[in-house]
Amino acid sequence: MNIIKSILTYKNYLISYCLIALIMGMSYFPVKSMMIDQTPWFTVQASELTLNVILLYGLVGLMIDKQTKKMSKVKSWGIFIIAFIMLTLFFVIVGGFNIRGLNLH
Amino acid sequence: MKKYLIKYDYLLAEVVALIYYSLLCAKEWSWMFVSGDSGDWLAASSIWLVPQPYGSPLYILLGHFINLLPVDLVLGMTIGLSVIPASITVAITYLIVKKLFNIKLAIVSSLMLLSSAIFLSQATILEEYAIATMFLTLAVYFYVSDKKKLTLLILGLAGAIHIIAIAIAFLWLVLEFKNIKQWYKNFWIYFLVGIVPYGLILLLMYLPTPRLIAGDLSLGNLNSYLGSSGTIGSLSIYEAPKRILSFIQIVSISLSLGIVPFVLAFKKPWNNYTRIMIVTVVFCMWLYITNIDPSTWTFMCFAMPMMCIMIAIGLNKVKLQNEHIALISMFAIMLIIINSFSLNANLLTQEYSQATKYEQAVKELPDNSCIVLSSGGQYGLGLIYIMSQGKDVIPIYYCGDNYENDARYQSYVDYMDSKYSIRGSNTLEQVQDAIKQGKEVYMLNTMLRPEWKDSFNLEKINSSFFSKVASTNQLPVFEVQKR
Repeated sequence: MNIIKSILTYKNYLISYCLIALIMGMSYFPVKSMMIDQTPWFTVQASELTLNVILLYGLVGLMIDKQTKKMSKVKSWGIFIIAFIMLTLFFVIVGGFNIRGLNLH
Repeated sequence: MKKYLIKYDYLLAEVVALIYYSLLCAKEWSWMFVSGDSGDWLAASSIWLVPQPYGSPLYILLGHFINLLPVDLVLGMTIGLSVIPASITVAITYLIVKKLFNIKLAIVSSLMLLSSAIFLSQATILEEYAIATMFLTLAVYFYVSDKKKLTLLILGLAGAIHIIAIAIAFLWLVLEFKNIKQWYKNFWIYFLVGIVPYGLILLLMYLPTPRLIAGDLSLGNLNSYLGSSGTIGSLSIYEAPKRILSFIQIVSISLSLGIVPFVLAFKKPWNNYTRIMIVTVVFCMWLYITNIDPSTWTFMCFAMPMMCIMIAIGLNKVKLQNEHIALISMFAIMLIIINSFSLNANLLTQEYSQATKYEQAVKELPDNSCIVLSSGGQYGLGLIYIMSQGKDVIPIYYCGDNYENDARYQSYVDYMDSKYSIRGSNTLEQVQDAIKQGKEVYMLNTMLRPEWKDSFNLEKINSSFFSKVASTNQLPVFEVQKR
């Protein structure tokens, strides 16, 4: 009883736990089917715009935004543009597969 | 007595995990839980040949060692390279959390790892993830103990098992940049243990090993070999919502209620080991979320013990810790019981015994006959294993749309000529030559690509896996594949 009483005092945690238990219950058998699937290796769509591009541009943008808050506008925009060019070059040269849909690869 | 029990309590965690995983592991050749590569690992452990990219040199060396022992290779590799390392990982996780916090949290973390679906799946089948994860977790233990040389040594062993561990080591190095001089001083250990073993793959390319997965040692072949699995980071944005949903589902059943303290572990301030664990966990999640191959959820196995340690870190931050522990542990025990029935690799392998059925179907084909299939995937890699066990069949691989510029395929063409006297610059010519020589040619039904359908006239035979090639037409016109 004590345990339940104590947990009830932490309503937010209890809601989170219930929500996760619900998602877990709903996910168990779909995940099981995914895990035991023995069909031949396959890929899903890779297109012009990949999730990775969005993630990396977003991440780098956020990092620069955080670091350049105290700098002048010109300087921070300069860093932004340099980072943008470098990241684009990275995708073209190193990770060409990311934008192969644009026929740059 | 009590003193010894407390001192060696991690052994109890290991024994429990060992019994659990031993009972649940697949006892015969299986493709369960995305272990379609098992055929390759078995073949590369039975005969000397270049395995699939990127080689996993230490794994195949250990496989060769097990092959020398008087045990069944499949069971030996499953137990020796998956079950035992996984149970050791549970014990190391226990030890790390006990060292950082207390026994209570150590029990929760090891219970969480034991209940994790991702980790369980890789602990009970023939794959390289469990042993690589063991080394990574041991490296965390030595890092926490501030033993730099041992950290580098063990991190190197993880890298020699799976190349992803090298990327993880690089990320650790970035975080440790302030102490780079201290790490650099002993870097030779890492280089010797983690990088040099990949020389074995170059050596196998140089030696006259079967040119089935890789060609001779040349720049063209290396380019073709290394560039053949570029799936990381290229998931389409259109597929992203579906993948994120799968990610949430798989994490929810692997961490269960531990997700709450796991998220709390991200709360600052972070110390060095928390940073190391966060970067490893996020990297493994990124690998899965952005990979075009939907079966790469297995990559999250590397991060599973660290996620469980992070659960302890999170629990250490909450008030009413005991109540949280009770609830989370109860769910973990419930999952351990449910998984022992539902994700039992032994039972599932018996129920869906595709690998052994395929092996039987290949063995029933006449000796010296040819099989047309893809070089990769479970069927192609599995065929090499069956051949390594003495079955006399000849693999004719689909050449793909860019075969004239594919150095690896050209190496294979030369190998087919020298080894089996089958000549032809592409699949169709090789099949025609084989038929002309009076060989029987079979085609794997499941891997018959649409563009090849009109090129072969097939006859149904009494096999669910193969059709017989009666005659051939023309080479298909390849279109540039939309990706």
